[in-house]
Amino acid sequence: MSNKLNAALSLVGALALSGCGFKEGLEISDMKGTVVLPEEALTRTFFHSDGSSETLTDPRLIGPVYLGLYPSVEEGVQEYPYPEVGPVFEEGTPGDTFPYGGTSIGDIRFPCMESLQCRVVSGRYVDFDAMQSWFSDVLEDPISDAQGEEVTNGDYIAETCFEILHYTSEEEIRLTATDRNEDDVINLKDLDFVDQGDGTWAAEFTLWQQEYFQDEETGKGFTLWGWMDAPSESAYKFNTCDPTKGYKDDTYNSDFFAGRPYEDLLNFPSKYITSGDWVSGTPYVYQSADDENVTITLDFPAQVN
Amino acid sequence: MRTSGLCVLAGLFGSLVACDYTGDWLFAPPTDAPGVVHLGELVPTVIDGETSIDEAVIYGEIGATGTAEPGGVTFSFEGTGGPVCVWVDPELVFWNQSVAPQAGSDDARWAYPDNVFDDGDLDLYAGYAVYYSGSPGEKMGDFEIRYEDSLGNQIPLTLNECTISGLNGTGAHSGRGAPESCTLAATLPGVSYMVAIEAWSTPLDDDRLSYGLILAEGDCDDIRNGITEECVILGEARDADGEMIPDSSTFEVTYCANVEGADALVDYCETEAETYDCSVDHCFCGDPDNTPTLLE
Repeated sequence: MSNKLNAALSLVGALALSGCGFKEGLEISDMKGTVVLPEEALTRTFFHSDGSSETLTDPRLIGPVYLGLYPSVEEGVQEYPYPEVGPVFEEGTPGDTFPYGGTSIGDIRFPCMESLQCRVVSGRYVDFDAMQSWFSDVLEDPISDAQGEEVTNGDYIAETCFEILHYTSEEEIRLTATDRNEDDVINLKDLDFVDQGDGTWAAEFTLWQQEYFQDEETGKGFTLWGWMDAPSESAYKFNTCDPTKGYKDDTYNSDFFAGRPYEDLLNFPSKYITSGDWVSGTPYVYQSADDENVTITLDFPAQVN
Repeated sequence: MRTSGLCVLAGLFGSLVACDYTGDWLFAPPTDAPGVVHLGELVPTVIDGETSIDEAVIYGEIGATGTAEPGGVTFSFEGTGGPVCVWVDPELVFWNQSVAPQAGSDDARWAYPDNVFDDGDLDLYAGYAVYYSGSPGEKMGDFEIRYEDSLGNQIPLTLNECTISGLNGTGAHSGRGAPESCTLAATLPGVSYMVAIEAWSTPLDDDRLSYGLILAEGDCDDIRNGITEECVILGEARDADGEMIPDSSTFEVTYCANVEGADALVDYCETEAETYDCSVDHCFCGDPDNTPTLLE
């Protein structure tokens, strides 16, 4: 056989084999951006038992922020801007929004004490003293331990976490701040949301390993939308937290679940958004997976009848 | 042609063949019993004092499709305006063989393994007939439709109304040899429903799977009325002529008595092992020499 024929057959063989190859064609990347909250979203007036009142702007009033990527956001679906929904098959049951992905800023984690169930979100407290004083001094609803005794310092919360979870450092508990900005000081600038000095608070987010989708005809990409679950007025609880799920502590006389976010938050946000929450009134529409300076503002106060 | 040229041609042929693969050869060849069966339009039975469960049972048999395509049974019915129960029980019974010695005779579970070679597995689905994608009697389908969002992406939606609860919520199916049931809570009068019973597996011994089926008005919990699930439908082990396999009913009754605490299955299995040559005869218990939990 001639060298030419050999080469031709080899080429055909290589082409045939490459024809069996499978290219997924997935456009996956870590998509980053910023969420902005107006100061009003973390401002609340408290009326104390001594008759006094104070209006506070405090990052501890920021609940978990949920971000989702949706085909689009529409007006008129709900009483606030809301993702487009799929078909409704049952009266009274909202349609699924079919998100492409999402994330949260601040997590509902195990708070180590039953009295803190569904009341603590990560990235909001500088340290455990800030957590203890928030409930004792501002909310006037002190934290109690498993014996029903009032918790009077933050170290007691941390020690309880160490004992239950067998941790040895506060970083492992992942509820309080670490030196995120690496200035050797742990303070308010190390929380998720940081005061921008212009009446807004901002936090960075990352949608890890997110696949990008767009309309093949128009080139319009998916839309980033989200909301902040503000703590309830009276109990300071987050209604996106399922108190029947999560880590279960049943040591000694403790017997409770930590609580965790409901599983369908991004699919059915309207089930959980209540008056007082802040919704994205200006969602971000992606033009490409490489968009830079992606910012959405949760500037729409939800009013739900 | 030199060897190198032959190798190239062989590689080319192999690569082209590899692209055309069905996997049919991995599955059982077609059986006399059809792999896909359509029972037509059924009417939900009213099970009450006049009609017993036994009278309401429809017995049938399915076989292998001979391909990688799943087989199964379908039938349609018209909504009644109320709940409708669908109940299917594949042959025969199944229990988990213990894999470790138990603490004492009181805790011993099953002294004999099940004969797993005569069991099959049927998975139950049901929903509006309009959403069913299969061709009754020809090809099994599902209740999945496609919703297209505003970006043009197709999202599959499963509209199976037959929800079966398991350890991790709804969407479960029973295992080999075990019955399945579900209640369509509020059927719409005059609307056509389709039930699709997919043959997840057929018996290893002959690939022919008989079954018992109930379509009845009302809630499945009311029909069961406290009876162990496996014991609602009896006598579903049938031969090719539709006749009950000898002794299968006795075996089922003994199994059910055992579930109720009679501890009778050990005696049955020991007698069976002594009486029959299970390498030739159809035994319902497994090999008694191959069990870790023999009772003294």
